[in-house]
Amino acid sequence: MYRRFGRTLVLAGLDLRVDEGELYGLIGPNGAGKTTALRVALGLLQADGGRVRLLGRDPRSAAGSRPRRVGSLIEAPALSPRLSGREHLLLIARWAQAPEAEADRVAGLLGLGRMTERPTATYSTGMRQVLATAAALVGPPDLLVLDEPTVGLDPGHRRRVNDLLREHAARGGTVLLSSHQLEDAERLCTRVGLMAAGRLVEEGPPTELGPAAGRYEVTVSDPEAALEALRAVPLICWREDGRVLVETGAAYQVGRPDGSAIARVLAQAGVYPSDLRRSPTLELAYAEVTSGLAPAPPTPAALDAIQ
Amino acid sequence: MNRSLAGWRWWGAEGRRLRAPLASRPGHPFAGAVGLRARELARRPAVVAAFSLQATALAGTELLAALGGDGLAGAGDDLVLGGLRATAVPGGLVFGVLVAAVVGAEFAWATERALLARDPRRLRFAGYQLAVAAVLAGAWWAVQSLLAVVVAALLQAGGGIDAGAAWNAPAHRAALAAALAATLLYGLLGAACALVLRGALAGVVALLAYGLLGELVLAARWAPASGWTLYTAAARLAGQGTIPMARAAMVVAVGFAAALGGCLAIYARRQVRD
Repeated sequence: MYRRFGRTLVLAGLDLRVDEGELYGLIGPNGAGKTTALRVALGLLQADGGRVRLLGRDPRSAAGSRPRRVGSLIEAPALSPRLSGREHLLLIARWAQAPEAEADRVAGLLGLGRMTERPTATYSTGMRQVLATAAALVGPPDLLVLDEPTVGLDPGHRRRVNDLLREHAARGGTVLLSSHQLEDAERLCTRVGLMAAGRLVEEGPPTELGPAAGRYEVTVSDPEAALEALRAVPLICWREDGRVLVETGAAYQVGRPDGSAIARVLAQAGVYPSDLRRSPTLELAYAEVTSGLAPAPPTPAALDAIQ
Repeated sequence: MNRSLAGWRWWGAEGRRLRAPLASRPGHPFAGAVGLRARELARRPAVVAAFSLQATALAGTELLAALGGDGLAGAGDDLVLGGLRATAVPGGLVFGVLVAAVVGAEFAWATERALLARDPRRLRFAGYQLAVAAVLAGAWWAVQSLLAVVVAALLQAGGGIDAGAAWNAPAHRAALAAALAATLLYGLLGAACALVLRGALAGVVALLAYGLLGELVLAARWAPASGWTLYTAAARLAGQGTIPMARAAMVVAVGFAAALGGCLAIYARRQVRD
């Protein structure tokens, strides 16, 4: 899809598909077009070019005479300051033609408790975000579209929201979320798309993205002994910052060994790691995108496609 | 079973598509949403201030007329009629400003975005806003009418006002109908300005520019236009002015239809950028 604001092309041929039951993370630097993509997907904005479908329909039309089953949180929480939290949830439930019991259910899910009796004007930034997330869960929806849902949340609520998203996907629901929390995206998402300059640069399971895909970090008291044992297998490994890095995901790697294979090799050599973990992949993939390797601005041909 | 437990059980219902049980819906959801919003409006200081302003203006007008003893708005000693005639159209304009402010606030709070993301039908959202404005208009008109009678009755108590006869008189019914028409017309104009310009301040400024500057200042200075303004027409319906009644009714009806049609046609293409 394509979308421009004035002379700026914000979405320059974004090609994105999220399947049912997926927990898809959209990540990328500020200005990459993530929020605009979500707005177009929800029908808040119209694409200037391309084809957009939400649950199989044009996102700007409702399913018959009923609201669609889509919950969303786009940018800052949108709350009427003089409504109480519960009234806000009730308003969303009524607007979405969901049962009113939904207001209490989602308040319970996020542990809002008696706070929902207070006007939203008295809420802290984090509580406003929690309430807006709860409002997105009213329905419950088939699809959740969330723009940075854990921004401003305390660790407890952040974990709770992440758990709820995981449970939603586990029950067959679909989640499309945009986030700058790479750690969360890596742990949570079944697939991640890296966006830059209005396009998808890379896409796939988070552990298979970027230069660190399939890499393990091993902390041992004797790195040299570990390197010797691993190279004897042979595994591609090297020493960095006191740790041993083992490459298992490269295309030229035979057999694609996992963490347990590495532990077994080390144990057989009498080397016992104090820590063995998969390298964070998204961080390096993200750095690659934001460090000048991002795609060039759209070509005249891309601009013509909008016409 | 408490509510949250019930929620958990429902959330955990089997099947990939969880559907809402229709039986648990009390009343019409759209009406319920309008009701909640109307309740929220009653808590806003701007709404309370506008209602107080209207009440003070009406009571003050009738009090001054009673003290002066020279009648009000061509209604002679009838303070009920005089009060309604004198305040119907200016009150409608004030009400329009109020509606522009409350409808425009939705854009500042971005609640429009949250609702349109759930249901992208622009006309449903515009209808929701207009329904809220209509509820507010009903309250405004009821308060205005009641106050006109109560204050006049209190002031005329010494003169022996016959409240029942006054209420049933055709002139009073016409004044009440005109007050309702002016309230609805200016309320619709206010809502339309806020919806089209996507903000409270822009909506209020646009309405005041049209209602005060356009109709009361500029049109009043140009004879051909002065008999065709909404203000003049609404005032004529209330029993003031000299333009033909048919023209007054037509101007009000056309103004209403144009504001409604224009607002819906423009808002139907709304792109939510903010």
